[in-house]
Amino acid sequence: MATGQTFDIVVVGAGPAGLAAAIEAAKRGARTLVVDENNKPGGQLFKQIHKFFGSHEHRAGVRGYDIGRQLLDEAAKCGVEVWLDAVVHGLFDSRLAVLHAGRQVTVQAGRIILATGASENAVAFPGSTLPGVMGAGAIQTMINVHRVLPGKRFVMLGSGNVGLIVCYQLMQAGAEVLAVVEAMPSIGGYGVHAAKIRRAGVPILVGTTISRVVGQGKVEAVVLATLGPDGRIDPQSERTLAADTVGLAVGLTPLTELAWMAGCEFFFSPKLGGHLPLHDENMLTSLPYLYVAGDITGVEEASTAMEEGRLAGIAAAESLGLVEAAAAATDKAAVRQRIDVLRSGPFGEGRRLAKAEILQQQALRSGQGGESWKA
Amino acid sequence: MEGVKLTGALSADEQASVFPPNERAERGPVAVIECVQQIPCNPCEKACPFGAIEVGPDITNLPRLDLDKCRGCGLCLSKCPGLAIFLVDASKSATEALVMFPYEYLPLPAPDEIVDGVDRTGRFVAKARVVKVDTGAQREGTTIVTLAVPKQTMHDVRSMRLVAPGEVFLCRCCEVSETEVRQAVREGAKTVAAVKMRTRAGMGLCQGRTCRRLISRVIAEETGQSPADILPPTSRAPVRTLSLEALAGGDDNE
Amino acid sequence: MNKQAEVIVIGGGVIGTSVAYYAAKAGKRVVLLDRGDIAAGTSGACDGFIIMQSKNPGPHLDLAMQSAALYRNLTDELEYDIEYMSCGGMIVAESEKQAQLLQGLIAKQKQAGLQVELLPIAQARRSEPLLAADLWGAAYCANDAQVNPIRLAQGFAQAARRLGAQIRPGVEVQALLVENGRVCGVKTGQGELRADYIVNATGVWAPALLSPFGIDLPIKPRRGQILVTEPLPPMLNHVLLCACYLIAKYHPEELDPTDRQHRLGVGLAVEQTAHGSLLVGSTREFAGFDRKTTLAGIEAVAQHARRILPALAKVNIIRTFAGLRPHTPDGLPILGPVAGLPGLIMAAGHEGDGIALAPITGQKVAEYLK
Repeated sequence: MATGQTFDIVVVGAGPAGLAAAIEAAKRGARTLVVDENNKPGGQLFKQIHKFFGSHEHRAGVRGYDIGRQLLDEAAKCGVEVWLDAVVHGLFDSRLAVLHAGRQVTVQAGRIILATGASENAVAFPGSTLPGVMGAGAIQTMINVHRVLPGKRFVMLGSGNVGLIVCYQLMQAGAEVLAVVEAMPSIGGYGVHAAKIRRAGVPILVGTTISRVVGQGKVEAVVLATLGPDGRIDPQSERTLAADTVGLAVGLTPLTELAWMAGCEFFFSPKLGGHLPLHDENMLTSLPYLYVAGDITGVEEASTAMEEGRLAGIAAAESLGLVEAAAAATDKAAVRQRIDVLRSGPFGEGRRLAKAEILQQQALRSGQGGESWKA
Repeated sequence: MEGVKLTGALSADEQASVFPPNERAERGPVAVIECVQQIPCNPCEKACPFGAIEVGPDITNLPRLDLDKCRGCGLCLSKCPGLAIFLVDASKSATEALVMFPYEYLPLPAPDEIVDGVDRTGRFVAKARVVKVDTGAQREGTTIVTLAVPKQTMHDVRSMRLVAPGEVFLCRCCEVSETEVRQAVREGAKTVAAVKMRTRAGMGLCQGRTCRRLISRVIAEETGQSPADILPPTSRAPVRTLSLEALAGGDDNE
Repeated sequence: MNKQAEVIVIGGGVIGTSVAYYAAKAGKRVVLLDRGDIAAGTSGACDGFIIMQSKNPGPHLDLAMQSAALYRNLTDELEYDIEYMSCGGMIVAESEKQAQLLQGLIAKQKQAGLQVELLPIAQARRSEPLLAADLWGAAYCANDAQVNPIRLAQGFAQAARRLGAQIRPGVEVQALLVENGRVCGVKTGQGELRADYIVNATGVWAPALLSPFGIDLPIKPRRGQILVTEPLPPMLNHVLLCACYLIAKYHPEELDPTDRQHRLGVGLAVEQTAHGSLLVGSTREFAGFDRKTTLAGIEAVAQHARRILPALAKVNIIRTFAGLRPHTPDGLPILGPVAGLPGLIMAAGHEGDGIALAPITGQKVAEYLK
């Protein structure tokens, strides 16, 4: 047996999903550790200075960073241990290899909840490696957390909620946004977010893409082009904007390296961001000790991530025998109901169907003699 | 199917018949006359101020190079109408060699620019650094480009291709272009891991976190596979970099 | 069914591709089959040592020296940059006792014509300054070299193809075909193929093809775990092994099973690749066909590397990998025909010597096929 520490439940990632999972687990008596590679907890919450959507129970109307503070307070009250600047660099069955404060430590876990989130997608076009081309999430971190404007004149590629919100916050921070460019024929995000930036005079150009970025050693101009009906760039339509920074808001991919290393089963969902760990309605993967929650199970937003975290936290504590099945069932049912609300309506439909497909697949595969499913 | 008559590129045997011995190139610059057919032609003979090239009275003779007389001045390079004379020099460093060749395209490269060194069939051999671009009057419009190339490629690199400003890099850590990835897939690399083996894409500091999806998309486009079937390469610790010292501090014993 | 080739080579690693190249060069019609891709198995998961001074005098060292001679012109011959570097090698001794072990081997190697000298640490550090000052010293051999095994296999395959060989990745051989007591072809997922000779170059997977004939080939997978560092400026002048490697290889009885490093068979093997990364190896463990890296394994390799090369402490590890070396009980590869199965030629079981012996293995097998 390795030296190092032992916890009932180890949560990887101190974002909304991870913190919520840890709180529920600790409340039920589990000795719980949260490990996060950043030097501050909260994941993406502390850069989300806008108010969240949802219902009252989801703390709708509260700004992201306030939700983050509430989660941290609650975690501290329940006795959750949090390691920051701590990188889980390997998973060896239920042991985690953690680089904590510069030291290599092995942590033995009864249950592991992966809440590692997602990473921003890259996109390649001529000039995409020039300094000044960066992820929208990176821009958001710079302006809202570090209070640094990475440029003066921006073009945003992608009109999903992330692209629209970051444009708005860029203008709040004093930058100029020249355009939002969207390859699809319509705007991806909520109309209300789009309206906010339209009111500030920012054009949202659908059916358009960035054909290239030019500059000597840095972004000096962005060449836009209209996409023809065949999806190809119409060279006649090229026009140039004198931007110095390009934001890429072209989606996120679940951060799954640790899950692949653990060897759990995977499922491919284009709607939810690619390959993600197959899981059941308790957020349990095909491995009896491994749970998942938040964007790693499919990219959504902070509210659903927190609810999934709660579900995983309750289920993991239950599987360790810390709560009675009946009490757990009631708690989990309440969480599932709130999740369903968040995935309701036309905007939630795609995610709702994709999530249902995951559960179907899981049922199918576990029915086919997947004896590792011990839900 | 081999040889200049069939493919337009010298076969291994033909190359062997014209290469100076490596020891000669190690001593200093020397001409490589890749002229293997009996064409009625002899300007090279006149071009050499040291009398190192001999064709003789019958001008269909193949030129013969006297390796001791050749000083590697390179004057013959721009005189050969077939652009068949090159210069190699392995004396300057332990790892790099210089290759000089005529280049009659625009735009010209700039000194210190990194270009693709290509072989006799235009195939990419190695990244190369432009050392000199000689457009001097005595060159009569034939520019002579000098490239620094990895030494073991000095007999392969025979021309260059500018790295197009429009080139799209998929792997920014190892500077692997979309063209290189597509070529690898066409040569049979059907998985992200196979592309990695052939091109090094994904072997850099980020370990493919940035480029993996982009590469998967190229594979899907080229092969018609579903993205669902294109899996990431095996995931192994460490998923983030850590120092050797930190790793050495561990005492896991299972 | 018609004969499609004179020689079928099974396995697209450095050994199989080398056999395919030399056989094609000798004028044979060759088909190479691999169920995966070129260099996707052991050859894609090892270091690139072409080291002479780790070999026992006798056939082992003789073959290695012949192979080293072939390597010198191989880049030109294959018209492919195999990243061959004639850098010389050192085997590090931590203690007087290890130095004595090296001394014994060196004496015999000198008789066999290999120039190896034992340098005290001060002298060794003059040409390899990163070695720890409190080591005993190192054995130095100028004939040691390195190569990129993936590019080696790709170079052999490409050159073989130019000579008319068919290189067919993605074709799995399911069984050998036997007619009138002679191996005459293979059954694959894409039909049957026939040839005069079948070469089994499938390394650790070689026994499976022979077990249906009641032949128990003594090849066992031995796992080696290797760390890869970030790309670094040139900092190592040689390929480096340590005496622990030789002890694990030739004197396993000297190992202390309660010591993690010994139990995992850790011996240093460090090289700097053409791209600047250091490959830092390696464990030598029997773990079946499991190609995972283990925490204990990569930690033990890191610890040993820090002991020998303390200057590497702050260097970042970006990746680890593990490969399966085809181990044989006597440490020698299994080459040549198989009694009772005419038509079948073995070329497998090279363990840690596959890279060093690849060219000569290919050449010898090709000679035999004449």
